Amino acid sequence: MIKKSEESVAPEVSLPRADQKLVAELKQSVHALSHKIGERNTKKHWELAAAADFIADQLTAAGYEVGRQGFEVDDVIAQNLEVDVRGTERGDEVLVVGAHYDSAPGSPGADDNASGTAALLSLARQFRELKLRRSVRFVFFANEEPPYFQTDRMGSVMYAKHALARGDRMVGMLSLESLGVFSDAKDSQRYPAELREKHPTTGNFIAVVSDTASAGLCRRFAKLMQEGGPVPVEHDALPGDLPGVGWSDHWAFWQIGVPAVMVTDTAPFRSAHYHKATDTADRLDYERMAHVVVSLSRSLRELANQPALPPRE
Amino acid sequence: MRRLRSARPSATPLAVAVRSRRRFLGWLSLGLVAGATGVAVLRATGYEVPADVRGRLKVLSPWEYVVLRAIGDRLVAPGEVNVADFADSYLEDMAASDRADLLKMVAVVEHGAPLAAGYIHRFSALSATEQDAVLTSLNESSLPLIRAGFEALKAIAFMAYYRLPASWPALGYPGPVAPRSLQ
Repeated sequence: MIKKSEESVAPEVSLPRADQKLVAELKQSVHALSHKIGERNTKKHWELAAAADFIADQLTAAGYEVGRQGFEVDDVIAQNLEVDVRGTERGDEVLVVGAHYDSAPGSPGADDNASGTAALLSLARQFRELKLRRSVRFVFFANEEPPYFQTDRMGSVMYAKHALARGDRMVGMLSLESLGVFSDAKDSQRYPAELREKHPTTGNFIAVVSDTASAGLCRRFAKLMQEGGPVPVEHDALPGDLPGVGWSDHWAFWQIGVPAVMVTDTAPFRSAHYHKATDTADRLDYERMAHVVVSLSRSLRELANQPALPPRE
Repeated sequence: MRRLRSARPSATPLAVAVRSRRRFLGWLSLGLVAGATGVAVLRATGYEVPADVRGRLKVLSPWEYVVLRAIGDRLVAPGEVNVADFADSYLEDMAASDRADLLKMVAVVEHGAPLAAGYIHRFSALSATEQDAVLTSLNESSLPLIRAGFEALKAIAFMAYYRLPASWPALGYPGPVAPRSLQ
């Protein structure tokens, strides 16, 4: 189990001060989703719809036209939301960046995954006016959490199939999954048994993870993330069935042959509050989250402008 | 009687005070009852429901219809979805005890919640902003029973919204795979 010292997420090491406007923006989004709205899933369908409307309002305010993909699940219409930044040279090639906005039953889901949603909203705001070679699409998924996880009713599965059917040429996918928990305490990071000797035991880093078939994209994106930014970046391409490797929306894109990686604080392998009522907004480290978002923004811009992206192997 | 009464030491200040207080309390009780009846009559009347609607209501009374419609207008797209019409059909198939509980909650929203939120008028007579404030207070109530009751009202409003094909385009929902007639 996680050591008790993990409870303290405040940085104990000296980090440069993050952009305070971004910190405030992330805090506000996480607070709105996890505190004002709270638990949001098909059992709390009012809150799920409120979260979708909150995201849509934020995107509309940023100047986007929001596309909604509604689908029926357990007598509820759940929604995926998408906005596009059309590429200038290779507009038909789409780089999908996604995060799920639902939360696990019984949890307000601040880290999992209001944090990823907040980061995605901030990225979308930053990218609104950018001219990039390749198209970048920001997608907010419903129904990632159980009981829909890795079923045909998972929001990202519905989305991936839908996008494939309408002929979208998706060349890569990044899933932002739980980005707010960090710890400088020794042994605050856990792993599946196979990885214990390979990676740091202090949970102060951000991880870029994929299956072996998406290793090229994983290495490429991790390298970009590692270039600057005070938060360390670890990466690994592993068998997709290893516990944790496929535990987010990138899994859905593997199913349709799109290279896809997950960017994560490793969620249950670090956070003692994973899927619990205690996964609350006050436990996140917004300074480090902001540093990660800056790295993501820079890396994503570079990725979108690169001549070619690594295919799925 | 007159002699005996006059012989009683009724003129002491204490006895006068007791008699006056009794008289006062009597009048006060009467006033309160009359006032409450008046308020109840005032609060239970003045609900305007078209005759054709009134004629087809199966479960709801006219005032409940008006209140549910007002609640629905604040919870989902105003004017687009008639939550009260849906509720009248939906409640017909509900267990009697559940239906009674839900209608009690409608009464709470109409009469109790506005007072608790600081408004003297009933819910259906408040402005949209005031109604939103009342609904927010119910949503955030510290009493689990009130929150649960409000959840039930929200569920009905949402069901009414989801089932209406006119609201599907806003959700990006193409509609059920099989037409309803085949389901």
